[in-house]
Amino acid sequence: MFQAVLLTCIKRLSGERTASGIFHMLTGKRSSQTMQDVKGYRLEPFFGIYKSLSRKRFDETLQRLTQSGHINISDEGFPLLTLSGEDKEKQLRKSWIHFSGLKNHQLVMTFEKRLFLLIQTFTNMKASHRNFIPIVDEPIIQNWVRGIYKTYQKNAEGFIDSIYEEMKSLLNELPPEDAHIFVHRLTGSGIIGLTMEQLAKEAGETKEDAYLRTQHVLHFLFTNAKREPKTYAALAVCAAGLDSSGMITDSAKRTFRYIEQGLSLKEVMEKRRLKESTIQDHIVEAALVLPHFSTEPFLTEAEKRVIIQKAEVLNTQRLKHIKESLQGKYSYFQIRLALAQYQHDKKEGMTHG
Amino acid sequence: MDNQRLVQQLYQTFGYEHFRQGQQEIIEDVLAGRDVLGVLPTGTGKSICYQLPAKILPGLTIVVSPLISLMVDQVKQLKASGYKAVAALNSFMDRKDRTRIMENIASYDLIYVSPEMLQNEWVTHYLSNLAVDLFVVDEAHCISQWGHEFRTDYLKLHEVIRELGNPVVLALSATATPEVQEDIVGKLKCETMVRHIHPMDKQNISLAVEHFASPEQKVDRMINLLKKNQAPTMIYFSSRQWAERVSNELQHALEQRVAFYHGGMEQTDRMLVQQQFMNDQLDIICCTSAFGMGVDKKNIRFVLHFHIPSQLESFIQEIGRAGRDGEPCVSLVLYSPKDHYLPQMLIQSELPDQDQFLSVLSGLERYRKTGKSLPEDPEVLDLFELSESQWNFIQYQLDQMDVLKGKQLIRSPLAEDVRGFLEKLLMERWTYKHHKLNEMIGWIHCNGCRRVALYEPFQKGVREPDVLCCDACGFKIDQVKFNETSIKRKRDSWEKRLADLFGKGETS
Repeated sequence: MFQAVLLTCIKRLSGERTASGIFHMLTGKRSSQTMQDVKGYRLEPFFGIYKSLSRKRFDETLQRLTQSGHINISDEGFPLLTLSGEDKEKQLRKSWIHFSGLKNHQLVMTFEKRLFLLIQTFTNMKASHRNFIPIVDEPIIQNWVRGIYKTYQKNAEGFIDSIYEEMKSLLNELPPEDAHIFVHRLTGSGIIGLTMEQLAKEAGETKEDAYLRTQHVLHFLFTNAKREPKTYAALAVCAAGLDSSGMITDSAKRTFRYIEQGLSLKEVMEKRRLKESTIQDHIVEAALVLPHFSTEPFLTEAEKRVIIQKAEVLNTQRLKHIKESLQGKYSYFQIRLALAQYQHDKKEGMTHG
Repeated sequence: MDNQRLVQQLYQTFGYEHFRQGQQEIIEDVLAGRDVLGVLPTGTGKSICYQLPAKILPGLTIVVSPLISLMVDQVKQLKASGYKAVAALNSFMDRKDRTRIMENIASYDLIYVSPEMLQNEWVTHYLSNLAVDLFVVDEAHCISQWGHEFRTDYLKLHEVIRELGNPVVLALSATATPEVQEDIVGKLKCETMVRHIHPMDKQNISLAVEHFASPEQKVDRMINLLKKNQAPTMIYFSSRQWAERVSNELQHALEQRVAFYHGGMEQTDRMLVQQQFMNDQLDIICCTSAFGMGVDKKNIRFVLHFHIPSQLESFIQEIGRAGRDGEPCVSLVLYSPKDHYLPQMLIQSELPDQDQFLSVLSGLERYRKTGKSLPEDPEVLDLFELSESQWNFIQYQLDQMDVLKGKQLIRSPLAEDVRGFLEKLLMERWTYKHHKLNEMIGWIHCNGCRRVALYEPFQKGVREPDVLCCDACGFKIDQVKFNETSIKRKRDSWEKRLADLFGKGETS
């Protein structure tokens, strides 16, 4: 699973980004560089799906992919697929299709804790085990489960049965390896879930594979609960209130408001006491996600067209190449801004057309 | 409260029908308003001695506990057992949670507090406005220089007790030599303490030590032993790497279900492993001393030591986890000639050495000259490359000699009297620690009865054991036969596992 994800990331980055870029993306680093890459190279499914990934294990896995001949790392440190890597990528591509990282990774984290504690609580209560130690410590999650238990107390058994039926039917749609790992992670009545280490042994895979498999299942459950709340009514309870509120960070929002009020970049810098590069990052982030963001104050429509055309001709997202072939007429900030809006429009076009 | 009502209360709160040895006398004294020193062996339910009074007394009970992990475990277990009016306060919690507890403090019966929290004026001020009926010092040996886990922040507890309006004091320990007992009474300034000292020798355990030339031989021996015996087993290591490594080797060589546990694991994984062991989903656990604090598993049959701890007190606590059901159990130490290096290194990491010590003092002197105040503790540790316990030691001593007040240096730490005194203290501490280690190693090599030798520093004589005594008295470990866990190792389908989890039984 981990290798499958890495191979696809490498393929989509087509040798234009370093391995670190992939690492930052998987761990959900919210820099505008990473965000822009996610959009530019269609890495949305993977953003933030592995927050606790260790850099060491990441590097080791890349090394293994190199040794097995699936990837090459260029002199500049950019990974690229080999022919056998291309084959492998195609072959494994199906394994990660349910990830929706950019949209849901944070929501799924909460969904996971709710679902796990809810299963532990309801199954133990059903078996009249009132004394169990909760596997989730966070008071917010514990209070949430307590509330749900009170709501459904009269029909607790019916509710947990629904969870069981809904999970069973959804798990049947997944590869059995995913289902197998996922159910062994769960803690219920009289059975304690396995650690990632133990799950890996159970499946004869790595810890990273086991982790990603459980996450993959969770993304799948979550997406279905959101899409068909009537069919998966009990799971939808666990997903209730978990909705994406636009991707722009709070800090970027504040910057954006000043820009909307007509303040110049310099004025925003002074008002917010932030570096120029930070303010620029915020503006690029806004251009990436906000539908009607105007780049006018920084870049005219004509200039934007020139940059985008160049990017299309060169078929690249690499700022340096674009800048050089435009003889340095535009700043990096302007190029990023042009590309950001271009990516946004392209994506909107895709979903609406 | 009369005898019968006390037993009734015990049953209602904890579901036990009888008190265990020592509990009732201590509880009666505490409820009668007498200060008590209780020394009770591990596994005899020390915590009942304050958990029950906390429930009965109208005001608040405060428990000072040195280990945060232990504190958190105990709160979880109490809550799980239906004892809800309990909380823990420690510096690792985020501010929001801490404030939430402080604001509702009057609604609790029992609050666990780490000693450094009691150095916080905001906390003590808050507490002093409440009716505190009972002040419990858990692991009270930490107060003594001659105790094996000396903590400088325990030394100020008598001040806290006074600030709280002198509530009843209960000091508890599982391992306190007579000299440590004196120290506890003296340092807490509770001269009239009633003492309840119980013998520590564990009558259902057989003791053995075996010598090996290499770690590999130890592993072979354990495999050989555990192939013939299937029973809940703990194996102690003093390094995380070794715990993981041997756990992997045992997994391959044995039928049993094996896992490792140490402080470097993720919180969730730690909790899962601990609960799996409690739930009999695991047979063998390879662990460091981080494991077992809050674990009250009754049916552990073997406690093996792949590495020795650095003092007898720890060893006694660790073997105390075996056989809490009263049934026979076994301790085996696997020793090889170079094994004393690891605990020696441990001692080194706990105490600053001479050179390091001088460079710290010079560093502090620079702060005094420039009039700057010291940064926060974590930064100090980085700056001087000290461990937490090293810095605690230095900080406390400098405070006592009026060199350091808060974060401000008011006198030169390099002054002859300060430096000389500190160096002397350091030497003493060093000598003491090495003496403890030598005591442990001496026991490994002793020729006479191991039981007598083990408990000698703590009490006069031992009781007659219920099992064969030790390898010097005719106990042979190869004659032991435990067959407790039936191992079924079939791979379930995910459908079956899911059905079991939801209590769906046979729905194949």
